[in-house]
Amino acid sequence: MALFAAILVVRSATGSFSFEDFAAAVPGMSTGMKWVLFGLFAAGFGVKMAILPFHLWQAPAYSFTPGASSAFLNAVSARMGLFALVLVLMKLITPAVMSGMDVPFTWLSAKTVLMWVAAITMIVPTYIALMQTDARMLLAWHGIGQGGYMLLGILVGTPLGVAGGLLHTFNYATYQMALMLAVFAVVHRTKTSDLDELGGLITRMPFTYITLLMGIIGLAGLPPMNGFVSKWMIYKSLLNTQQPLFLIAAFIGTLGTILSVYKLIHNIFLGQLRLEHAKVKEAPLSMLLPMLALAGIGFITGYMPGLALSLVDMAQAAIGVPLIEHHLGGVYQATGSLNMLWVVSVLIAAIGVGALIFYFLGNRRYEVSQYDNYAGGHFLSADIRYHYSHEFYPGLARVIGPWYRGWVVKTERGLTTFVAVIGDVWGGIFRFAHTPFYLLAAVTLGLLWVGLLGKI
Amino acid sequence: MFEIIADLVLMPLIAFLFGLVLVLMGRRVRAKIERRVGPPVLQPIYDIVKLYAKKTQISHGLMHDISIMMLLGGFITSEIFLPVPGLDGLAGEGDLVTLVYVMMVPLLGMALGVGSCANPNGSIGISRALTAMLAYDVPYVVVVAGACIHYGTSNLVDIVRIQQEGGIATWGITTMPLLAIAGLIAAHGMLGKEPFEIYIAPAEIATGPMVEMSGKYMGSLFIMQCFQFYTIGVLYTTMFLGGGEMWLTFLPKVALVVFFSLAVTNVFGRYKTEDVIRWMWRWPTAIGLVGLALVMLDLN
Repeated sequence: MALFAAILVVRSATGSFSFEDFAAAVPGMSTGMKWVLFGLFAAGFGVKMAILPFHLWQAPAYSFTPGASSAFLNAVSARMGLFALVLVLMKLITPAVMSGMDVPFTWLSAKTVLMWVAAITMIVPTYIALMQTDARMLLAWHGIGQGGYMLLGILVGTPLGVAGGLLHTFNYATYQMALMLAVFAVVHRTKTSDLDELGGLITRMPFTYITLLMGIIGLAGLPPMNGFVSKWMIYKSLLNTQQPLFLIAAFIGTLGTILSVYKLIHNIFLGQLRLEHAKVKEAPLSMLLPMLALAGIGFITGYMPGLALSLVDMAQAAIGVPLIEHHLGGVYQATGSLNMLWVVSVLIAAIGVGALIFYFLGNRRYEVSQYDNYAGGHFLSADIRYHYSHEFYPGLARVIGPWYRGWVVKTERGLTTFVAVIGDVWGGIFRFAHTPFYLLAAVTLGLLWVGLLGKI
Repeated sequence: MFEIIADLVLMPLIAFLFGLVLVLMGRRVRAKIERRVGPPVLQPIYDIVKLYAKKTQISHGLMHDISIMMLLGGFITSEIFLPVPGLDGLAGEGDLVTLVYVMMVPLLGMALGVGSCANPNGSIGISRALTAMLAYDVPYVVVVAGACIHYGTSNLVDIVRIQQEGGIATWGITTMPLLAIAGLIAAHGMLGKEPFEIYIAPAEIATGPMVEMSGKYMGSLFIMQCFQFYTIGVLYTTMFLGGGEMWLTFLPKVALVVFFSLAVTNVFGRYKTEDVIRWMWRWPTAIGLVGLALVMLDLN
């Protein structure tokens, strides 16, 4: 509805549906008109993109779809709203116009308002993800949070920021898809994605574990995976434009992500193996190959981000943003560069040195079963369930739990009720009372409006 | 080329050796407070050799071993990206933001390794360690953001150069004292000492992450501690104490930063997990944010 209204407004203001006419008409519009268009487009595509406060539908809708389609929805389809937003906000309305649209009585502009929305979208869904007990829901909530990074990077508006946001879209698609496929491989073998009912699968499904590990390193944005490069570019663009508060918000989101993805990998793959999972087999080759390939792409584009940045160049050229200087290993900036070829090579070499120290110095190691553990005066045995999984971060939950239960849940309920009431009212009018009359009235009014506008 | 190879070898080596000195200092300081003599000079080395030479070396699978390599590898990488007097290493190829992230790799490695040990005490320890990270990293990122904006760059070599060209008047500690205070508290949190050592907590969770670490696993953690002391000391010195113009003044500055932490730690008990979060998000973060506001005002 918002989009339809927005398109009608554009039509009535410019007399055409073409992008060129719209872009040409924007500078001459009144401020009120710009706000109406900005609000309608941002809200319309915001629903598709699941930015706050239009985010509630996405996680449940995407996570309980079967297997591969859920992975596709989460990794690729979820970002279609971003494509439309980029097109409208960057190319048609343009950041310069958004910066000029001041909010009365504050120091905010339309652009900063949307940036704050993106910042909150980074933080709140990430911490909601932290509270989830279902692996698929956890990842789907992270998907919403990651959208905030992309939008923020793009809204910074500098070539580096836009490139970071766009690159993050690509990177996100690779690691999120790998993560979802890994989780579905676990579901395929164990018939559950409940984080409280898994554990210790690293010995049974090692390749799935490797995929999930590479995926979470990407999602958390740590080197050597590709998620780090795009997040670095977004951070760097925020530093270059001297907007530290957004940087801090982005970083808080990242910290929450690290906590949450560790919970994901720990509860599924680490810790105690349950007796009923003792004979679980590795996922079939047809599942392993695609997810390992995706994780591999994540690593290669992290090691050589120049490959993905060439794609980003094309996208940037299409929306009319200047290109950034980049090389195979990363980005050169006068205020601090990044060369992933060096970073990753050194990291791998250093881990190699660690391996040399570990394997060649000291006495020989020998492996023991996990039931040789000893804790609190008792030997642990298979029949005692001791996997520490439920409420993984109790300390944190005691601090942010009240906020979560307080305003996050209340706001969610409020929004849901609001939508339900509006839906009921419209449904009631449309369905039960004098349907033909309302339809006739709406059509007549619509025609009148179009006719009058045509006269003026 | 030769110079880079020399840097790659020398920087971690110096870090390890001076880290041993810092660890010794920590134990001597504690001994003095408790009116003991303290261990001999070579005790940190004896400990590592003893642990590596032990007969019982229990492994809980490949991930347990890899975690030790990630621990060492992450810190060795950090050293190479941290400029010290005369040795810039690869500091130009990655910046402060990169370093902040590289320094998380060891923690992630430890978390994965401890998790694969399947000991609930270890898992609780990691849960607490990550919670503590969330607590101290918030003021830390405020400090990093403030410092990057104040110096106008996140390149560590440039940050050091700016401070050395202007003398003490341009050191971070004089130009942004509030951020320096917040940074010192965050650095103390990073070292995982009392009152923030919630994840070790010997009396509650039997030393948490270390509970399944024996023999050379524990020895590697000792090596890691040397690196950790040194890295955090150098990072703070680079941001606030003018970096290193020569080794003779640089190392005492690093030792001073670590000494502050060691002096504080011995007179405190342990906070509860949620109190660590509240305290870190309240005081150092507030001080840091005020400092950041002053930096922003200064720019305008």
